[in-house]
Amino acid sequence: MKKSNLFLSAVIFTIIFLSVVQVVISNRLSTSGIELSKLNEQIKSYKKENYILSEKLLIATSLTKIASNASRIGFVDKSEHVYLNTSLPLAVKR
Amino acid sequence: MIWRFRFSFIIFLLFFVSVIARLFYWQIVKAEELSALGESQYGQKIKTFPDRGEIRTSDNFPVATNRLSFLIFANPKEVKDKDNIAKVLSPFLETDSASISADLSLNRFWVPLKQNINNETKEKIEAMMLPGIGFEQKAVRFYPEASMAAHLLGFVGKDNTGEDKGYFGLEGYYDRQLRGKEAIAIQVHDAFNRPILSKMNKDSTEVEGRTLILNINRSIQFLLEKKLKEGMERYGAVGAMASILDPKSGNVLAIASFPSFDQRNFSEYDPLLYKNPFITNLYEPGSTFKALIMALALDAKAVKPETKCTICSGPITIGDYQIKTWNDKYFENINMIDVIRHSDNTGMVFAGQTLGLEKMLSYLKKFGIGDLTGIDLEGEVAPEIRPESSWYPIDLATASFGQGISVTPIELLVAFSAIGNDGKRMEPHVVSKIITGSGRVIEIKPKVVDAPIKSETAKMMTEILVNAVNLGEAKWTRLKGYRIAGKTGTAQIPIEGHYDPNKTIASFIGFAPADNPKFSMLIIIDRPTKSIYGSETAAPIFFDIAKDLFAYYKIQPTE
Repeated sequence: MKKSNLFLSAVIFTIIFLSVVQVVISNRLSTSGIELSKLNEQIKSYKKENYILSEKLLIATSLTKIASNASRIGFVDKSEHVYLNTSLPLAVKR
Repeated sequence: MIWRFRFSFIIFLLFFVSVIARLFYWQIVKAEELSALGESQYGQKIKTFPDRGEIRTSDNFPVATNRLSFLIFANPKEVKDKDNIAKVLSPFLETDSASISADLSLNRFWVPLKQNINNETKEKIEAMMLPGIGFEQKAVRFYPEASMAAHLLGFVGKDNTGEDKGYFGLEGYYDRQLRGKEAIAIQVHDAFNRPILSKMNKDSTEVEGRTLILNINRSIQFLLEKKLKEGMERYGAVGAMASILDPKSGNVLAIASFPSFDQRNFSEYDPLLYKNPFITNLYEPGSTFKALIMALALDAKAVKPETKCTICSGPITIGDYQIKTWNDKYFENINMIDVIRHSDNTGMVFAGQTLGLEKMLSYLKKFGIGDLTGIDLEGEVAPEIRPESSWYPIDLATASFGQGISVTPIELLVAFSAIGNDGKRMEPHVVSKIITGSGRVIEIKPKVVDAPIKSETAKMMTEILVNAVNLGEAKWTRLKGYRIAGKTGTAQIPIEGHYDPNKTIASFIGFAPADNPKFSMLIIIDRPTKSIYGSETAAPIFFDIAKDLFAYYKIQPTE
């Protein structure tokens, strides 16, 4: 008798406890949507900033732009390459 | 008394079990149905459009990527002072205020005013907080190097459903890989329209477009385009095209054609310009083809380098035709080395006839003439070689010096590059790697397609071509100190059954350094007017580019 009472109490207690836990978790989860929304907005904003900065960076580092800027400030094409002598011999006969 | 306890226990137990069973029914059995019902009431379908994949050169610079663009729209029902707002917006949108005013007067809830606004303009307009004016943002294709490599890249237009689609070049060939797949996610909202955590229907990493990493070297591409355009203008030509390959791997380092178009505003150009002529145009290659025919003849042991031509003391008559040299000079008993050096048509006829038609056609097939090279660009063509039965003796003779046979420039360059690669023909590749959205790398490895000539023949032919550069008609412009294997070409253009006497396609093909080639290159100048000869137009451009390539690759002179 005592054992069945104990078992019944345990079951009832477990049910009540799990119900309370579920309510608490659901409650916390339901409001996390606001945070999710905020995070999504932040991600969007960073992505947009990335796009804009990337565009500026790529244009500035493009060869087309560099060549145009170089020409504007007075750089000219090199005429001839100068080659220094190739490697010295390891041992020289005297 | 005990039976009362037991009875109560059983009742509670039954009640408990029925609750569990009912919960099981609603949460497990009916779960999907209820979830769908909930989604339909509180859910919102979100389509996520993937960014189109990037195209990057070998130095990882994106030559095709995406940028933000904005569409400015108006809700005419909310715009009060239409004329004033039109006047305010007009300078920003670069549209006359009457046109904006007309749009604002329409009886609609949503009217587009202008597309492709940049972020700066958008922020300036937003700061004015005009009622009823809003923006939609989307990613559009962006080419940081402007119109460089337009033929190579292709462009992005729309298909008949209004979705982005790539056309021509890499955008066309790799469209499906670059496009990715749009994903649909269900987002559940509460009564205040705030999102509740919900999983995506599809794995978001799978939807992004893939990135292409090219073999194309950005610096070499820039150099090639600059020099080719300068050369085309200097020689008063109608057009020009060129490509640089790595003969050992088949990697395409650069490819350019003029006239070109601007892929950012492709609709403003003649659609005929969209095709890449280096892979789509057919031409009779002329003397550059002699390198292939001589290589075949040597490999088949029909001739040796020291073999003397017994029919070269004057023009050769075949049927009703007479075959002459380009300068009407003839060398009796000329050997095969000098045939190439002097670009002697009669000597080539001798080599071709000694080789024989059957062997020539068989070898040309192994060189890939008449077949697609397999280059990964949209639009490649390859004219089939006529069957042996439809060849006449004059056809064999003219084909020996590159007339009466049509090839695409890419076919010729790939075949010629085999001479610089120990006789092995490689499949040309523009793309080196494909990177998926999840970071997986798919490598495209070099592929040997065939071995048309033996290694010894390739070495022999290389020496003959070096001799041609050093002592031939282009010797005045060659780079001293370097061993370059090459051949000039001055091909007549067939027009309505005969050859135009005044117009030519001038070309130069070569690879260097001859002993361990780092690059092979074909320059084609279409109908130059200052001079019609390859040695005076295409050759100087070739050597000018080669000079810079040697410096770029830090290759020292060897002689």
